[in-house]
Amino acid sequence: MMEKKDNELVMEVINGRSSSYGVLIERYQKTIFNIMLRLTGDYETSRDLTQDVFVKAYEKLGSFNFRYRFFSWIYRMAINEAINYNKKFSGKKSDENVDAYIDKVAENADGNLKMSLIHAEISTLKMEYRILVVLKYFCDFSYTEISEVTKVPERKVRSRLFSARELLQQGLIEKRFFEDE
Amino acid sequence: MNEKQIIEKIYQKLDGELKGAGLEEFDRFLEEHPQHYQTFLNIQRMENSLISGGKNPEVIDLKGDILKQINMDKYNATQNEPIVRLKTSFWARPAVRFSFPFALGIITGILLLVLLQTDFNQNPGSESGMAGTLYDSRSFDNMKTAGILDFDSPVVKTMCHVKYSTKLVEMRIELSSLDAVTARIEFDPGSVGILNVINVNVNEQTSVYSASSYIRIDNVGDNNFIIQLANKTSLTNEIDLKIFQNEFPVYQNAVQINQ
Repeated sequence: MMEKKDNELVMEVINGRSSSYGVLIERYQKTIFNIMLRLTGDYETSRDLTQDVFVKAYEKLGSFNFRYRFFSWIYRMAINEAINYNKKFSGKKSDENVDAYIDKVAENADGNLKMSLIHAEISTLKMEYRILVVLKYFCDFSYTEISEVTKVPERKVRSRLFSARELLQQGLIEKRFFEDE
Repeated sequence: MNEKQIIEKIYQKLDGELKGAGLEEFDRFLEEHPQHYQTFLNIQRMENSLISGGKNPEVIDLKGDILKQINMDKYNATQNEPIVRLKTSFWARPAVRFSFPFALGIITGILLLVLLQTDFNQNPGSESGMAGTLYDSRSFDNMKTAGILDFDSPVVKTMCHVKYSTKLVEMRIELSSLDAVTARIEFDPGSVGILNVINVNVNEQTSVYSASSYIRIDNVGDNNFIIQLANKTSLTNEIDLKIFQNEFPVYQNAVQINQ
């Protein structure tokens, strides 16, 4: 059976078939949770925020503009949710979260400290850079898709991503990431 | 190439955007410059780590939790809500109600305009159509005749019909001359005042001047005038018509009003 397109499912939900929303949740929960995890650095917070995003999206589904694609709409909502969370809890709590996150990732990656170094370095980037890195490497988005989700022109996406990667590289050089191989 | 351009090229290569001759040239460049080749290796390693990190996303199933928090009847309710449509009669519709006074206003405006145009834009050239003035509503036909001055000579032809009422004196003058002649209508300014001089049919060579006690017409060709004077008193007065050619009098006569 052919998979239904996102916008068809949205239309079904609006027309009263709520169960179709379950299909959309299945389709996007993993990516949204991972975006949250990379942007907030906290597992439990990411779970909560992911749920919030889907609940809010359901409430706003009636005003969804069918000219746009559902994925860009809900990812944008997720990014905004993460930005708002980080604004609220920036500072000490965020640093604590990052440390805890590094430990957790290192644990999960069988002691892969290289990976935890990269994640830690990503968490030091400015939010606008961090979003682009997350969308590019953890969501495997093309430049065009990143531009669609963030509503930033593709050329700017490229140049900002370039700067983000330069900063990452510099940080990793300082942490001797490249030395022991 | 500077450092920044080299790094840009490295990312293009890693993104698969550098192809063909460009890619070969850059590969040669990296081979010839070991320090840049090391930069390339570092970036490649970082990129690979990032990509491999992204390939192992956290697996999570929040569907049940999310669906529990959602009001599943939200859109059902919208669909099942009875549609209440207020049926208004045709005449009670706002568009109909407001369009009537609007149309009535337009029609009244057009009627007023037509009526006013009839009153003011009557062709003054038609002598028979003259139905009095605002000053005296009596028509020329209903006024009392003071006299008709008729003169016919090789130099000039004229016909001057003078009528009057208690308030108005009206003179209808036809002047015809091959060469330039001057006609002067003279009156006592204490008894008669100029109201209006209408050029009914006047060519470009002809002109009319007025003063308190006379009206001068410099005439060439065939011209018609209507002169309206205020009849200030009820006393008998004379109005003179004099015609000159090159300062020499050609014709002179007078009519009496308020006889």
